[in-house]
Amino acid sequence: MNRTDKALKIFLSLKMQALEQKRKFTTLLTVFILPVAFWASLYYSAGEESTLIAVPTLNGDVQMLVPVKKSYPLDLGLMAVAWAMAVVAFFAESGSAEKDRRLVLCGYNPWQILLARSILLTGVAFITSIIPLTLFVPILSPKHPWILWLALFIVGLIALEIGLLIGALIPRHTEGILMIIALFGIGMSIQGEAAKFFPTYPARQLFRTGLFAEDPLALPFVEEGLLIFVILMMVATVFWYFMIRVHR
Amino acid sequence: MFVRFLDEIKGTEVPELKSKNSTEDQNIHIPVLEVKNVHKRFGRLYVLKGVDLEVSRGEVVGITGENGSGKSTLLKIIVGLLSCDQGEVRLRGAFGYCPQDPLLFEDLTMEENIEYFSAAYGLDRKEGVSRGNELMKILKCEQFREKLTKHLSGGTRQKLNLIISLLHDPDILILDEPYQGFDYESYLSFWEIAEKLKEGGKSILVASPMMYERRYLTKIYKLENGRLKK
Repeated sequence: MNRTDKALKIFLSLKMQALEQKRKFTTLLTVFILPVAFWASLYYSAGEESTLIAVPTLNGDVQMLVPVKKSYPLDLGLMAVAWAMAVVAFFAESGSAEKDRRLVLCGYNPWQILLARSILLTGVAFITSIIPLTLFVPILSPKHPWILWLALFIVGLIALEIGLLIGALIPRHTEGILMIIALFGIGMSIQGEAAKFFPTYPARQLFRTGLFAEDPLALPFVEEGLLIFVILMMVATVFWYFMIRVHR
Repeated sequence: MFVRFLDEIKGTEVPELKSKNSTEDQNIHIPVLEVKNVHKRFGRLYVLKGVDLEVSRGEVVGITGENGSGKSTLLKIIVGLLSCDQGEVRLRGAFGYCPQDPLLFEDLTMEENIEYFSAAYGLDRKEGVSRGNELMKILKCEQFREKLTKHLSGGTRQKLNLIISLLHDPDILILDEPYQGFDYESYLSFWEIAEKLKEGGKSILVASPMMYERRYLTKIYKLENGRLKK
């Protein structure tokens, strides 16, 4: 098989996976709307009180007094994007594991299916990062909107790998979704030193610096976030490959 | 037409029987599938306890047995979906596998599933679609081509399952309860296809708890207590 044929196979897999996702539109829309509705209800029901938060800047962490309602997206907004991406990735993986095995049995290379899925999900993560930005920018007036976008995109990438990993480890829908809810529930409530060990921590710091800092500190968190993404991708790939391998 | 496609198979692949000593005659007895002393257990349950099986070119071999006797396990080991604990499996040539539970993409149409699996087999789009159309016609399900798989009846899904296993003109077909849910007409069509493939030198291994059409079978085995018996 020549290179063009391989590329065609990847393209066809991408097309078919995109068609499947498109036809799950109602489910996906619900997945995206739920956390946005949750955030909006919190935002508009919050009072005028302020809270102290640590904001990373080029001169180190600075304590800033910010309105409580402006601090909600720090955890909830990011976790909403993470939840949505993880669920989309989980459904993409867990629902098709046995069928992917059949495709491999028929001649598809596992990497072709995986590459197509990764391209598709990265595209979804990109779109997912743009949608909340259109809400956050006019409502929150961030100092650096592009850093906010980076935070949302990176959290989407990390979450999609978490979704793929859970899809490979717990392919049953109910248990898998409960696991995602539990994980991102922890992500929303975790604070202090413990928060540093949560995989979305770099995105959270990016979000803070982009939203509040005059002199934002972005690069170390982008690097850390991408490193977590790559590590999770490798782990998820190993488990997925183990799940769909054939014995020949 | 599918018949023409079958005729092509017939014309190119089946060596005519001449004499007992001819090379072609010897070729026909080369097994396309050899299963030697295969063992498989799940925890404490020993499902297969030394299964031996041979399928030669042009043979239609049936495996029957009660539900849970290990027929599907044996077929999964043959195609590579499961590993065996002991023993050896040798498959020569391309195989088509029709699983008991149709593993189909529910949110794709019948046509799209065919296109996707055709690509997996390395067929170009035109070729895959043309073969898919012929098979849909034979199995009388072409009117559902644009319907999403999740909206198809059990029998039609099973037909699509079978079509996918036949798309690439395999040397041996490995079928796990391929006609469950078929109406009687489709059931007969299935055996007609099997007969034509057999005449074309193709081999078929079919597992089912019910094996009524024994006249089409070259050999029939019963899987009992983890062993195949004639």
